Amino acid sequence: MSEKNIKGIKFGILSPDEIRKMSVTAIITPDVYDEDGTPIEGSVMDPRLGVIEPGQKCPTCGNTLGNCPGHFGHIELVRPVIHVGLVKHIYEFLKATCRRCGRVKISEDEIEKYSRIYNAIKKRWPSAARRLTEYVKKTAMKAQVCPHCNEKQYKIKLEKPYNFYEERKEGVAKLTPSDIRERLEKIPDSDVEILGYDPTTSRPEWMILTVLPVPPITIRPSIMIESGIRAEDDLTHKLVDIVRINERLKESIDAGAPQLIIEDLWDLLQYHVATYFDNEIPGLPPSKHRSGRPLRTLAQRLKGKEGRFRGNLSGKRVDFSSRTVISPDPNISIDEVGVPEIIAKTLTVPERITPWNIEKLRQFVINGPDKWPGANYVIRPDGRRIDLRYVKDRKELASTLAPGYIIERHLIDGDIVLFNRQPSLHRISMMAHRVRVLKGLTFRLNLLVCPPYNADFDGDEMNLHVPQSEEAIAEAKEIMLVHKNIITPRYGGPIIGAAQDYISGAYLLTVKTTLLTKEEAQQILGVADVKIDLGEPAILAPREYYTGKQVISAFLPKDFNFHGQANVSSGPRLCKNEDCPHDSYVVIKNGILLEGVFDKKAIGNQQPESILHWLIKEYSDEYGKWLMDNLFRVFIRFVELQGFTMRLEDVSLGDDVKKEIYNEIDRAKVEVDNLIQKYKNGELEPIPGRTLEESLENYILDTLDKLRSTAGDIASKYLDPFNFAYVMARTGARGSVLNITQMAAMLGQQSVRGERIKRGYMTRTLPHFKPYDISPEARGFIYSSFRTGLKPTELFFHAAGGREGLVDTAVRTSQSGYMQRRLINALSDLRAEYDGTVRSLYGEVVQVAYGDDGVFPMYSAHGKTVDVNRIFERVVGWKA
Amino acid sequence: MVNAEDLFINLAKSLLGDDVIDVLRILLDKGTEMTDEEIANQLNIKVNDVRKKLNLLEEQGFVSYRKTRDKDSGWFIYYWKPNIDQINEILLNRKRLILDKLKTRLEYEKNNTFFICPQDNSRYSFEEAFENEFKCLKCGSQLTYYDTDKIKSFLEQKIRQIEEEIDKETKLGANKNH
Repeated sequence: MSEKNIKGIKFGILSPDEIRKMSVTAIITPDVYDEDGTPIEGSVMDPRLGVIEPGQKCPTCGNTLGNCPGHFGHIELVRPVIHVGLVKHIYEFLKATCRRCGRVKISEDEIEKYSRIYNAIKKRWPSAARRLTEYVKKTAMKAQVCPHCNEKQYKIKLEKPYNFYEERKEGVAKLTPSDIRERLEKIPDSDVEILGYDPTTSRPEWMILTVLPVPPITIRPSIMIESGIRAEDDLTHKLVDIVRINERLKESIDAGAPQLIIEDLWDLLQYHVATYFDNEIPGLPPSKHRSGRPLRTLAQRLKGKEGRFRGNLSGKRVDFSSRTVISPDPNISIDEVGVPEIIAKTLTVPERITPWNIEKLRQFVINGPDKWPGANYVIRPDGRRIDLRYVKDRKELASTLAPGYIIERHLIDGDIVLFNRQPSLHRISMMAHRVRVLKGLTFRLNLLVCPPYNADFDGDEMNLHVPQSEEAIAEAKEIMLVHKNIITPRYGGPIIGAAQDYISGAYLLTVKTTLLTKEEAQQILGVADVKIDLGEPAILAPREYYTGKQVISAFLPKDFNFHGQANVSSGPRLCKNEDCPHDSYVVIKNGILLEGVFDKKAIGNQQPESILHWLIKEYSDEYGKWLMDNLFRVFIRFVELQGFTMRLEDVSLGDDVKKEIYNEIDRAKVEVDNLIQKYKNGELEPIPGRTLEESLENYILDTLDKLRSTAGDIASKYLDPFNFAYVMARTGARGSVLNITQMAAMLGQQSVRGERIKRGYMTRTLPHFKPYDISPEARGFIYSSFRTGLKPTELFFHAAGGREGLVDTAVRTSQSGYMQRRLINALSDLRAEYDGTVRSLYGEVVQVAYGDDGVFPMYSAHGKTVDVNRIFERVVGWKA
Repeated sequence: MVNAEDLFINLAKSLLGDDVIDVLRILLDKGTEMTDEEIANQLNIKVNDVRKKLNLLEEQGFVSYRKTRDKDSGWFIYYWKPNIDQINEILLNRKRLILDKLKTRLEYEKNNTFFICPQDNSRYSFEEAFENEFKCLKCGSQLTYYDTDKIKSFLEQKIRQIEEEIDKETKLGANKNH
């Protein structure tokens, strides 16, 4: 057979003749089944419309179920009706053409001129041609008198959704679909063309339906519920309605019924045909099922997220996938995923029998579908598929296996699978993992891979896909495995790294005061799969003690150099160079951690230019994975050993400290009162560019902000540096100093829309305050801390501020989600060619160099092409 | 010029048969709008039959109706009147229909080859002739090639004629209005 290429697709309107030609039968009866349940010929379930039951032969084409495409029927509408989808076009035609002669209402010469231009440009400049036809339409609509027959034109009014009226001098007259069709018929082909339509495929009168195509049954299958009761598809229901009303209309006309009845039935027919196409037409009550559920008719099947396009063509449900809740497991490798046994027994991988794996696969076949690790299907070399559920003697089958057979075996440890969490916002939302079949019913993943997926374990679910071909497996293995994606393509930093407990543990381990006996060192190193020599203990007398820094150094490459500030290096503990009494400046020389602590800045996730980043970038991501599977485990083992928590005590202040804060509060109150007094006396100095009121607000806000920070300073001054909450805040493990201040000292100003809370009642925020009170506490300032508890009014203000935050996030995610959808759809077909340019599918250059500089962020040094300083530090070393 | 009313009635007769003429005549004679009941009373036939006929006439554009609300009862009343001034349009529509049919016929003649039996002059398309091994179904004699040129030229001439007529009429309509 010769190869066919599709050059283009042209859309047009079905003509009544075409509809009749493609129809195999006219549909005339509203009854669908007779007493014994067989479909009636001439009904919407006419057997000639296609096979529905397996084994049957199609009376029309002779094919069986799988091969019969289904056939159209048709309904001869007794009276014509408007096609709702084309109302806009009908309206334009009516307005642009003469009501009497059907010509476009511009002069003959102009028609000729425009049609000449139109024919010349329509092929090459379709968009210009469209503009021309729009112009012709516009001018034609304006004409009051037909330039061809001098007929006076009346204004045509469209009453949505599908009623047309003509405003004649004797009054408004309704145009029936018949009238409209008559008018459209008069429009000559040449005039149709300059209005931008192709008369060979879209005559305007075809927009008024006289024949309705009835789609084949395959499009609207009836389903059996609870054996016997048949439930028809919504489309079938709608078609039955149309046939019924059509027949009633015919009978009424034949019987000479009053015009009123005929008009009503005609209108009803129009309604049914309209809702058959689209059941969500504004201004029309949707057609309902007996149960009250609106029917899902043609437009509803295509439209929207679950419609044919977005739901079945752009994206579909796939085989070899599963979904369940995720839970954490710090003991599996970062590139592993824990798969429940029941899922491992359902998902399969096809494995071809070779002389080298035959014994293993034989055992799988013998194990069968119910015992893991087993197999579900055997595919013989001739392509026959054997379902192991129904094989009586699997042992015998196993003995007949030979190279060339394919076994669809269960998922086993080490298989490569894709793991994904929605929303899939970047490529690392989907990574390859190695399978680890575990007990339980949840997917297990290492805590360190939470950031790329943005996953937590408050009920999150994730999807897992099993690649089936060797090619797909190899590709997933080579480019999608977790540890090959530690460095994010977004900015070239490690997206996978320590967080929370890992950071607390690393900090506590590296802190100067941590000394480990040999036994303790052994214990924490036990979780790492390593054989290392810690060397001589740092402290020999009175007892032998290893330092935490020694433990970490054992994991670092022997030629690694680094120096830089730690996260804890701030405030009173700030150090700008290695001469640091607070141990907040990290120095690593030849792979030995000499000074400083490990915290968020050193090993945290999403921290570019950190120790972790350079380690991975300079010593491969394999090494990065090894670090995370071994060293990082040491960190959490160490916090477990030490014990790490957060206590009420951590955020409680002594009486003297409280007193100090109260004094500050009193002072601030007085200050604010003074400001208000000054304002009232008109002595307040306005800030340039602001009104007096705005200035007062600003001054008050400043004062209160200062109050909160002084309160925080006072509190943190008295906090023990090894207070758990404070450790977490300083190292960047969790929380901030501000959070601690709010818990221990004072919550501070609550705001809505960036201002002090001022709305509520007309003259005050709450009835607890006097009218026009603008004091701090009446405008949402909270003097209490979470530790002491909030007063009722304070709680209300806090809730008001909290709600704004929630609303903001909700709005932001939906907005940015839609923005991203549009961006992705617009850019999805661009690609970077080998010459470095970014081009469209047709070779048009979008960017001369990818990203304007040709630098791929992932391979760059945090966006820079070369990081000279780091190269110096690495190659030359760093002189103290 | 022939009486327009006679022409109107003749046209209706040829399109819809004799049955509808009584109703149409009454409407023409009366000269004003009438309700279906009035017509039925005058003709002394059942109102249903009158409506049936009116419907038929309306479908072809011979009559049209106007809907108003009765002031007392609030019911709708339908007034019917003959569209005698529309006679040209009706004719034109008819001509367009014929033109369409002629065009499809011409297309058919152009796209097929035909064979004819020299004995009884029955015509077969190529497919039919091929299936019967080029023998006449009735008498069994050998078919000969049938030249459709004559038919085609006749059709073409007819089409041209009607097209011209339609063209003229559309323009004439303009002149008449002056």
